[in-house]
Amino acid sequence: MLKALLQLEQRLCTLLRCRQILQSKFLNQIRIRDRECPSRQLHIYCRHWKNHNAKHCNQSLCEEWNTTFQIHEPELDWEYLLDKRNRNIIAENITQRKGVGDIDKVLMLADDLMAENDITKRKFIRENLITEALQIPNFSHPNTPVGDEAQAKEIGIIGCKRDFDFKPRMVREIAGRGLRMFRDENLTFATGSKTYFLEDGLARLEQALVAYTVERLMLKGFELVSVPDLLQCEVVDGCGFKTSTNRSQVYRLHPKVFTDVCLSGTAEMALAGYFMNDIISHEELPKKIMAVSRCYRAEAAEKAIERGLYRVHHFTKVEAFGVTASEKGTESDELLEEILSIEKELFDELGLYFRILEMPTQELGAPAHRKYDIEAWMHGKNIWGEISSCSNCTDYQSRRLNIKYTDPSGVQKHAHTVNGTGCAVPRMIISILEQNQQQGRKVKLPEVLWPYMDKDTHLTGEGKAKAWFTFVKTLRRI
Amino acid sequence: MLIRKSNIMKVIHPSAIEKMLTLSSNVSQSRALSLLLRKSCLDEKTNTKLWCYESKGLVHCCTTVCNKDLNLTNTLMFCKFWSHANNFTFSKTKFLHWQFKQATHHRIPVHHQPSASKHSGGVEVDDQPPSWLFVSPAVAGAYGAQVNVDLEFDKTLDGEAFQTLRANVKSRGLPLDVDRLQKNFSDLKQLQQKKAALLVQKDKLLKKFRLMKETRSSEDSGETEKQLVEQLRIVKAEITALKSTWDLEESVMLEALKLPNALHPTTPLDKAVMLQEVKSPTELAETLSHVEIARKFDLIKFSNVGPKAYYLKKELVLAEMTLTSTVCDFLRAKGYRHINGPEFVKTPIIVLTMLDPHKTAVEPMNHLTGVSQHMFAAYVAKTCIGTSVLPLKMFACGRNYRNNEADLEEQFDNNLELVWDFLKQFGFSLRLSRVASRDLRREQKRRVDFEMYSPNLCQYIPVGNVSDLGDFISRRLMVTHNQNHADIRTAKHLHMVHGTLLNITSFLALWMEHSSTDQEKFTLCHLPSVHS
Repeated sequence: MLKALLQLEQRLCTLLRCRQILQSKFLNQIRIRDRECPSRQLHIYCRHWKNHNAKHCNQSLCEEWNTTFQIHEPELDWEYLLDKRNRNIIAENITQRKGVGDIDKVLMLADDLMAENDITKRKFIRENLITEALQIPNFSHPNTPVGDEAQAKEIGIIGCKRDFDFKPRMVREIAGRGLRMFRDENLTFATGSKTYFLEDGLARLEQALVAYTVERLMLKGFELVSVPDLLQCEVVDGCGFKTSTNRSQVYRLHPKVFTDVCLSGTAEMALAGYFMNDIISHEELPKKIMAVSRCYRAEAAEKAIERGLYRVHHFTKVEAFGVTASEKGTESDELLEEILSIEKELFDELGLYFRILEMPTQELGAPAHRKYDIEAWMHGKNIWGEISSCSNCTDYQSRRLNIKYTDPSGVQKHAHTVNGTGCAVPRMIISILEQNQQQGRKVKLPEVLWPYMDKDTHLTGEGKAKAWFTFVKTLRRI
Repeated sequence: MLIRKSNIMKVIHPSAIEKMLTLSSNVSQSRALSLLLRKSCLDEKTNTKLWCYESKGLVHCCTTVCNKDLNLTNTLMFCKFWSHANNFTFSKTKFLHWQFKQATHHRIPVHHQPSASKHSGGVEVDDQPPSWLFVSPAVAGAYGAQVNVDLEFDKTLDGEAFQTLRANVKSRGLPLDVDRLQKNFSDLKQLQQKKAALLVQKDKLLKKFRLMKETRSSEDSGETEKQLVEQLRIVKAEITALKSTWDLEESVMLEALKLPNALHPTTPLDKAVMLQEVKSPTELAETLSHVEIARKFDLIKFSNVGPKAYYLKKELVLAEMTLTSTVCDFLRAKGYRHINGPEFVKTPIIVLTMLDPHKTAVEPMNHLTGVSQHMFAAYVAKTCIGTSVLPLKMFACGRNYRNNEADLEEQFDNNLELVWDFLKQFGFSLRLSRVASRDLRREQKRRVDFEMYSPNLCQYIPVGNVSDLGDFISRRLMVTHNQNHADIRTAKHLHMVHGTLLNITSFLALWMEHSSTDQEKFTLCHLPSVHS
């Protein structure tokens, strides 16, 4: 009964929403000169297409681009959520997580909705119900330790800690003053704090790390795609990243330029968007896909220990993403273990000293069902620093982004999604540089990277001038 | 955190800062030409912090002002600062306090005049000063000047150079009134001269006055003293009255910052000129478009998850990666330095290339530019570079590079040759054309476009370019060079050449169209290997 009612409401809402979108003219008001647009390559081509060759100007080019973005209403597991017998289990899960979400409020709103007869009021209550229900986090895996960061379970330590016969330096010192390949000073005026330039050898190392990771992942059956950087906020929200809170990590474009568009903080968002509204046949599953992308993060915290490359506003990352069926219920866990073993292999081959942690409930965020972190030892700061993580989101993302598959009997079900970091460049650079530093201005590169670095075995700053420029504060003439 | 950093907070009461903020935030601005980022966490508090943080710039401004060695020089701004200091001898804190008083009680209304920023249509954005490069001395207390703009007015607004400038503005079709600018500038100069003369006169009178006090002898000295005091009062009053130069100076500077770069003699005035052309040996008949090919073989997924979003798949994404690394290797072999930095810049950098800086929407002042000349401008902004490393050649993801003045002609031609040789190797029809002045961007002196033939559109598509920026950017962002880079006083401005070696996405589309689509499976046609 309740289900049927909800469906009816849903249809009505969709209709209303379509009308709203059609009426809004914001699309016409926005004209951005293609030369100013970051993804302008295709625009320029598009313009030529339109201006100079009208006969070819068929709509097919921008068919997808011309349709207004519209996200399906999230298909949450209402039957389970609204069953009062499950209240205690859900409430316990919420407390074990960071306490975000309120199941009692959800149940109360559901009761209100049943009791209400007025259509406008029903609509209002219904919207509230959905917003509240979206706050409820995913369930944790039975093996996940309960508690805060300190409860993280160490699964293994790989490699061995190097002993130095000199005081190990921090990455800023090694890369900046030592190699002269890194700059993060005096940039507040031009590009802001927590931005940096990688130069010369380090820029090459970045390319090498990306190429190395992509090649290895390809061998493991991951398909490479290029991803867009600008995404609709709903897609980002659907992935479990909050865009509207005060402490959001996500950059939002100025609303007067683009309404509700965010800058991608990780390729996971765009890759989830890739499968959005797709119905995949069970034979094609698991889908394994990866992307190299620029990630932008607002990163508000500013701890002294995180200075330098550790927490920055922009970086390159290789992200692996998988979509699995949920027939047995263990498919996504299997893929998670596979991604973890690939990550382990990647970092082991790079000769890093790192540990693997199973993250406790409070560290999972809302979407993850189970999450592993990989932390490398950073000699400069004497800390374990996170270099990678992988998580199983089960159907949390697919219910919000409408990613489905057809099971052997032809029934449509929500797929499961898994993601993992193949290589987050700045943190990899920290680990490699700090763990392989040598006395003087020299760093030995991991052997697996030599083929990608024109057979260079070392990065060196020897023989370079002290500095080739001075920062100018004021210009005055005599 | 930010507030703690700034010395200004020690002298100015927070409520006064708030007042200042409300005043300066009334400047509403207009259309955004670039994509802007906004930290969604920005609230009123952050905004306050932001402004205070910006005011950090003031601290170094005023240390300069208090420096007695300072001389009247060729930059307008510095004359201005100096003249403040001339009247008062300040400690750092006192100066700030005084300046703040001036700003709140006397000069803030300057920012209330929205006349310069009313544009029809488009985006309106709040909280923006009239210019991010030039800050009027009257309000410098609110957010200090971060750069000293040096525009060489004496040269550009006089005689023959002025006629050239007028012709330049006209041929680019810019809506600027250069005559008014020149008139305002000469007025300003006169006022400044007058003020300088008055200051000299005041000094003389003071000296005389002191001398008289020391040698107080005769009886009628009382009368003379009275006369002298009266004269001194008049001169001081006149000097105070001349403070109106601030408004004039601001209007001159704001207008002047909109001026375009000089035109290079080779830039054609009306129509683009084709310089070179190579025809592909095997001219293809009309083929499918890259979009049709992509659909046929499932190579690109177009999507609306973001504005104009697309996912390259299969062979295309590999081709994209290969092209990127090929281009990087090519440039590295040519001695260019690979840099990889932020794809967004702060407002002072972006306003360089905007026709009107007010059209930039600003909140936490981040602009997404991608890999572009802005990244390089940001890298070298506020630096003095040792002449020994010039020409400084840099590139990012195989797209951009730059270098210096002395052999600018040669560098421009070298870069042209470099791009031409690189693109020629692919064997597609290619042509080189010089862009007409009307199509130049404001900061460009000249530009040469490389265009490749699209068999589907039966026309040429731009894939690369080389442009000559002269010293346009360096004059606005304090980019200088000197034999000894620590010696900033005698440093000169740098000249820059910027270019795009290959627009990889456009090239991929063209490459697809040049490939055969008859077989079942799509393969990109073979390209000859690229030699450095």
